Amino acid sequence: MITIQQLKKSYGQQPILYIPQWTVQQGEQVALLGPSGCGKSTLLHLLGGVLAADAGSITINGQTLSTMSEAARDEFRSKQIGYVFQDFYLIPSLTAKENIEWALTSQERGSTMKRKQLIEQWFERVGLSDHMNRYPSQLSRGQQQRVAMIRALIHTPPLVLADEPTGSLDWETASHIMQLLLELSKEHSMTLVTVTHDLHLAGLYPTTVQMKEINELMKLPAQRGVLV
Amino acid sequence: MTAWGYIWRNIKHRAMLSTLTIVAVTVTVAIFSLLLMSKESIEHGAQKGYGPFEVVIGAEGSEAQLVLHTFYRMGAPLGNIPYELLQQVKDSEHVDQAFGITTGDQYNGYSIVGIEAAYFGTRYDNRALQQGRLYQATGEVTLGYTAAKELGLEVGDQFTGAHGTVAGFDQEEHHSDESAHEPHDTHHSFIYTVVGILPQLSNSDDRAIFTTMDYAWAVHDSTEEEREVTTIIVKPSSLLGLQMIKQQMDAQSGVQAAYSSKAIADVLNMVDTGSQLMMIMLGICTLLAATSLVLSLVASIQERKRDVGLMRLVGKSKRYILMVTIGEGVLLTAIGAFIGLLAGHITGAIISKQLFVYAGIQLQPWSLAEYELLMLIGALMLGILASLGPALKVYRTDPISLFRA
Repeated sequence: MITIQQLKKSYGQQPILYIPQWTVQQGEQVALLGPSGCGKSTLLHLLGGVLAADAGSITINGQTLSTMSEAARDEFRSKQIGYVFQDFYLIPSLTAKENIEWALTSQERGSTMKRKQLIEQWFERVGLSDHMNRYPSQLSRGQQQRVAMIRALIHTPPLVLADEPTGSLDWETASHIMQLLLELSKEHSMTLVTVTHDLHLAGLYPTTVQMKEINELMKLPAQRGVLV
Repeated sequence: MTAWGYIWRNIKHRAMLSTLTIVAVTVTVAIFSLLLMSKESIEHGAQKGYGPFEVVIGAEGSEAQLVLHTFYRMGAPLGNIPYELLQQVKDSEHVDQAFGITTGDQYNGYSIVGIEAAYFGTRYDNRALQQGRLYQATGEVTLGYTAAKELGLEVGDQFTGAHGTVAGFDQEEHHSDESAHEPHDTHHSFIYTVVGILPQLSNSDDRAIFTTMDYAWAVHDSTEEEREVTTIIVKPSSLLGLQMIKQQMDAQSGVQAAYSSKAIADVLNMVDTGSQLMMIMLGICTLLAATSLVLSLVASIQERKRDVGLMRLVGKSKRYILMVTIGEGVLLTAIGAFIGLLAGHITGAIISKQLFVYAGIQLQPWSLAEYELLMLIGALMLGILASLGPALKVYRTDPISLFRA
């Protein structure tokens, strides 16, 4: 479960986010909607512990991010969070399978044989069994995003954060990828928070949240400076 | 996948840039290695080059030239001194042993050196010959190890010499042509017979043809009054004797005595000066190699900024990132240094024979020269230092800013 209280974040003198209170239940699938610059990605990075909040607290499954050191946040992120990005960010020097192995290294995933089987199962699940040994440059964009999804989900983190995961794909592929992401996170009871600007794709989610519903700064744009 | 596996894949992915970096390190280390090998060989050869003969007596001129020609067969002789002087030196109470040397002729580029056969007993403790025996009669020769090998001569073979020392060969050859019609020139009718081959002595004696001292007089039909020697090498009876001989000889007109060790030290100092110049050049090479390494890593990091951002986002620690970034530089340096060391020694092995034949420098290509291990450690330290800047830059950068790059 995610609990946010009195969360504030500014970039320099520019306040960007103020969320008095927001809760996401364990296993919930949430689509975050809003225009550019409304703080969607900032919220995602705060949830992922990549950015530190200026004030307030974020508690994920009983652990409060704001009290953690940077090293502890790195450790927390590696075990508790899976990240899916718009541009996939696969490492070009590694094959699809090696991209997953590389991300798994620091995880407790059992023996080499078990790890190999696990990777093969996930590739089979996303329909890429025949593409495991291909380099990212040899894969289509949709295939690359499926590999990136395996990397984010294979260690079954309690929380998956997706930042515009279909933003660079054509509509048909985007729809298929979003559906797959929803299925996979549901199969493994993961909480899924996805940032998107696509209303149609957001409609696939059981819960849709407009940023203006939770970010107080968007309700009173003229008074941003006063609130922070 | 281990951190080293990941580093290796990155190096392979950027094959061209990685290869260039490795080549830069390889060339620098190979040249360093060759220089250290040569320096050690020159010093080693110089130290054991004159044996127990602490004083050399010869005609007036450069002391270094006198010693270099006598012990290393390098350069031209200064001139001759009267034969009577040899007996005078031998009779001196300050002298343990003294040998006269006559030079002036050569065979296919190898000096013919006239010296009493007892010299070998004094200098090499009567080591067994590789073949045959030491010369006894005029016209008999015992070949140095390399000379025998290069000339392809065996015991029983015969040859005729030519006038001129090796260093002054061209000039002397010309002189020989001019005087070819003189009735007393017997070079081409004086036949040498090989009676033995010396063992490998790893000094300039390997490159000489030894015979009796009187060969020069026989070849040139010298009368008893005309007899001369080129140099006299002296094993003094004591430290005081060493100084006394020098004083006595320097007092004589047209004669000088040189301390072997001092003349060699002077030459080594010149070699050191040459080495220092070489070191400056190598310093520039090293700087270029280090710059190449830094540029390669900076380019690598620029190329992989998103990878590094990703590492942070998937939870890889800063320590891991620092390790893979420095590790890449260290691995590139280590590969370059290892290949460079190997290349330096293989090159040493390839050129060692020619180098010994032409310069008397005997390389030891299959053993590590002094300071070579230090050189390797230095190369790795340089690799770490060169990697540290780009690595720390990434290490200190916020993952989000890397991600947005």
